[in-house]
Amino acid sequence: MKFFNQLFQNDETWSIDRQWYFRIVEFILMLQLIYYSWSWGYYIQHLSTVVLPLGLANYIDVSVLFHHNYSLILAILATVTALLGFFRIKPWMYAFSLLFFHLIYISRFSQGEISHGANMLGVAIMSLAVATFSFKNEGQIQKFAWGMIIFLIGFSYTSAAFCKLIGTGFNWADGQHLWLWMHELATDRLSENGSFSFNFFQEFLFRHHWLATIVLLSGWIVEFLGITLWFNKLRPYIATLLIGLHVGIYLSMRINFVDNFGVMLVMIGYPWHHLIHQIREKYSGTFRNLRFSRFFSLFISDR
Amino acid sequence: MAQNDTKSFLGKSIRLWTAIMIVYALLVSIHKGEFWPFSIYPMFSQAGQTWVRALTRDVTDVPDSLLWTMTDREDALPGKPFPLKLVHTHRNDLANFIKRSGTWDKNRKQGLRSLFSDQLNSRKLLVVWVEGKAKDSTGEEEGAYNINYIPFAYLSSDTTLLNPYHHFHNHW
Repeated sequence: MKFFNQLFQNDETWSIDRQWYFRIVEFILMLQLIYYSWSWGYYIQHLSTVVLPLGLANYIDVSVLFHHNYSLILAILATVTALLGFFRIKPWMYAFSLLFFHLIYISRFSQGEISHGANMLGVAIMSLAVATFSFKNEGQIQKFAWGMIIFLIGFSYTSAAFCKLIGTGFNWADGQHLWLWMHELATDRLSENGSFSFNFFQEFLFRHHWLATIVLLSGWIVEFLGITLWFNKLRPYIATLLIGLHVGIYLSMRINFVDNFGVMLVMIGYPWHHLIHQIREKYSGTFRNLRFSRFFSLFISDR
Repeated sequence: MAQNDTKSFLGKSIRLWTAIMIVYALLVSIHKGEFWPFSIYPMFSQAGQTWVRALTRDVTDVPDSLLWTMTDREDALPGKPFPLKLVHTHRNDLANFIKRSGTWDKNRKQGLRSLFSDQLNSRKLLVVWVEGKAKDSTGEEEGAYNINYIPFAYLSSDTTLLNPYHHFHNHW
């Protein structure tokens, strides 16, 4: 019970600074959703057949969405429902946003690749959908959504670590495995750009098996610690380690999770509401004098 | 009253959390670990396994007799590199299309052609199956793996021809 108390900030006063913090995070999530909806929506128009059905594509034929701009219509619907949800005009519209985005995702990733780059965004939108559907008080909406997002993100890293242990065993961290993956990802870069060369760090990893092993092992340990994100006092430290993990993945394997997972970890990993409080204190007179109060009330509730 | 409100909020939150986790567990267990946005996150969980990716080469000026040569060096492949960024196809989609496809019927071949947009009107392309596998050696020797480049499909404006000399294992 104590765990859930602190996860959902039940004993905390949900201050105006925390509301601002939450709404800024929610705004960035909404922008990400809109960006992916449209970029994937255009890409889907170039597809022709379903190679590997995912999600609801196991039950419906999503190839119908590959034509006649249906994927762009879905992008419009996802955008409109996200905006309606964000501005709390129809808060429960986040549920429809999630559905439309799911359809876009399963259409885009119907060619065999199972991408996880948008999973954190997806669980965040799902948390918002459940929160706005289940609670009427804005403070409770935000507290519940926040707790669920933190829980699911922490869970995802630890789950990944256990998958590696079950999938390979304790020798997962052997540096030779990293060499093989580095060549695999290099082939991808070659395919995309026509040319590729390993960076200095990768060349160093190829020359030193012990270093490649340490890189894998340290990343694996950090993943296991992912669930410590659930605890307020530990969150900034594990968020920093996880950001470091993704930077390491980018340097060694050139896989960019920095602009999705990295952004999410920066947003949720640190107590930005303290900074927001300082800014508000410093400029409180300015905000009162400017005619922005009505505009800001779109974002912040006084309930 | 305020204490009742917080107890009520906590109780409801725990019930919702429980429901979400049950749905999560059911969906991923029924769908092999993946039902977006839910996942068990199995990426890179199977280390040391053989991987298959794809490359594309522009073989417009290459004689037919040189098309199907296997090699373990990328620079020994026929023709010159054709970067996928020239067309609207993601590299992972091409790789998964060739390695996961079952029967190569007319629709599947047309699907492969469509990944190259209108480039086939003016070029001849060779899709190459790239396979990486670990050797059985241990220790710190460099190059403890083999990378093989095997021509998979030849595409031109009026022809789609799969490699007649090699049997490719389907990677489901």
